[in-house]
Amino acid sequence: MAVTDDRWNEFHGNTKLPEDFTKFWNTLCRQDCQLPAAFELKKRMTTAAAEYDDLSYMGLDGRTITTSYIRPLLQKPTAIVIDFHNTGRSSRGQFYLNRYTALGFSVMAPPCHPGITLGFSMSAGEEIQNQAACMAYREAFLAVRIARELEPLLPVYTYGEGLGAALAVACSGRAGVEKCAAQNPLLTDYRTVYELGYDTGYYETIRRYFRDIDGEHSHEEEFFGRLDYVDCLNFARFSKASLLLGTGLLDEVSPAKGQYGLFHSAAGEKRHSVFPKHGHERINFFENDAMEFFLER
Amino acid sequence: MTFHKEQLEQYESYQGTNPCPADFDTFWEKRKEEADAIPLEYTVTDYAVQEHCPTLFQELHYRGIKGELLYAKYIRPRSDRPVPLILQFHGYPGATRSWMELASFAGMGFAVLAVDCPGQGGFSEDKGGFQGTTVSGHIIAGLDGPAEDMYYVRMHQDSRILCRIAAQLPEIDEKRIYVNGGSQGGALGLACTALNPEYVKKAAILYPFLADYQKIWEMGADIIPYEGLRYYTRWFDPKGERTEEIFTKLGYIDTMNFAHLVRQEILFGTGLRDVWCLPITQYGVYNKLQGKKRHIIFPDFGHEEIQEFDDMTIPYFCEEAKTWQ
Repeated sequence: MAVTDDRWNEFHGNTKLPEDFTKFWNTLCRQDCQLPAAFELKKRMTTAAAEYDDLSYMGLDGRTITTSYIRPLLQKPTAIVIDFHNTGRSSRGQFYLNRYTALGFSVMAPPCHPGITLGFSMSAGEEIQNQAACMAYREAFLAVRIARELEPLLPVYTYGEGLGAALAVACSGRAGVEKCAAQNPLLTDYRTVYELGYDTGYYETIRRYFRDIDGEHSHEEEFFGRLDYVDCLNFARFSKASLLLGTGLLDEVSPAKGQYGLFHSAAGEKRHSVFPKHGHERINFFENDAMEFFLER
Repeated sequence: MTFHKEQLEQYESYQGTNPCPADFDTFWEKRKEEADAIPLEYTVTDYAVQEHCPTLFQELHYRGIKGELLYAKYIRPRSDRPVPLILQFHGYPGATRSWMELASFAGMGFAVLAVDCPGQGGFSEDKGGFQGTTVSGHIIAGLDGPAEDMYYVRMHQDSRILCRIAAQLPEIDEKRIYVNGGSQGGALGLACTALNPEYVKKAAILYPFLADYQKIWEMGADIIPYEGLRYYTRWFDPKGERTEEIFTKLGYIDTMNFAHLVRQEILFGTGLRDVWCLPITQYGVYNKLQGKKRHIIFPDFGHEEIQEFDDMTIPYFCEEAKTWQ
């Protein structure tokens, strides 16, 4: 794989772990757990093989979140999958999600918090816990709680690409989550994003911050220090689940180097599927790896 | 769809530009006979065995019209009873999608046979030997030789052989064999439906490729997937003296010309922003379909994944589906 830099094999990321990272998130999660994980199911469709419901629950900002929840009928489900979607799109549809019921899993596909689906944002004056990225993680954790309410006896598996991958990895430290398959995660190692010039497009807010607010980088460490709280790499350090990470080395949105940093920082059992000539795109071969990974016992 | 109104009115009465050869139907009857004369030779082997998984993942290898070894992913739910089958065709110039993606059909209670087109991005063998240029894509592969030796003529014959195999598989309900595909997959799927009415009962077709070549050429859309048309006419007919001859021959493999043979039910999808398979050419196909049909228009989609259309295929194929609003 001549296209990789061998130094990445030792790279653990430029992300720094805030001293109070665990305390910060434990406090937020305790606070969020005060809210009931109440949900409603409304029948949408039944076929011979699966039951399709609309699942509704309240988001942390009070809006109603509605998503698909599909259960296999040909045999009892053996896990529940949370499928997190990527940027620039909504939750995956029923046809796509059928892949999980075919494997014997129930599945839900929550929409990501709307503040983060089109581009990363970080407002200078706002508290971290209210930032869009933070809200996205918090609602992903809420989805795990809902999944466990729906299927209390089943392990939770998470899956995602891009933005969805970041949320899937973040959830890998939550109770009940046993497997996580994530491809080309975003929200990962913001310092490397900046260093390698990926601060355009999805990450443009980083460049805009320095161009518009801190041209001389007087507050650079403070800025990135805030982002460390919402860096997927830091969540990976506390993962309890088995991780399958997929990386397309030509990823033009989320630098592959940062993904190596995430992989090497991740706690627990892990494996890395690397695709030298794929970018930030759907990768057939990763899907095959993910299927095998989810079916392993 | 107010701003598309005039355009759509024009499309809705459009009957196509590319000529249909006078002997189109008899030509294909002969090709079907040739395909039916091929002794069936196929194997089914396990790809991955997971005893606890409700779905089986297998590979089907079979011999095509020229003796080439063809490859299909074969996925099906474990079941004591025969299950319905989807014949899935992929886009150009790729390969069958991942095992995981195709498993979605098993999640609907269906088996799926997804074949790799010869010489494209998958495992199926292409015996080649096409007369004429082979450097610019499969539309024009064989265009200088007899029509029966063109790439897509062989492909459609291979599809018929696959239908014959499918109907023999004991785990398949041969009364419920359906077709699904988009782009090249839509073209192959529609031709397969047209040529195999005794096997294929209905189909879902999304923005079919290989349609109304002459219109594509005239509108300057003979680029990327259709670039063979431009290369061929630039190299071999620079003054346009053989236009009618060339497009009449291509008429044997024009999706639009298969449409009049289709009497089965068709769910048909078009993204109006499609810049590869121009919507007008898709209407040319749709307007000639002879059976029950439904055209779903997506004004803000192009030649891309259209989730809403995919989702529509569930109640469309799962006839027993019960839905609540």
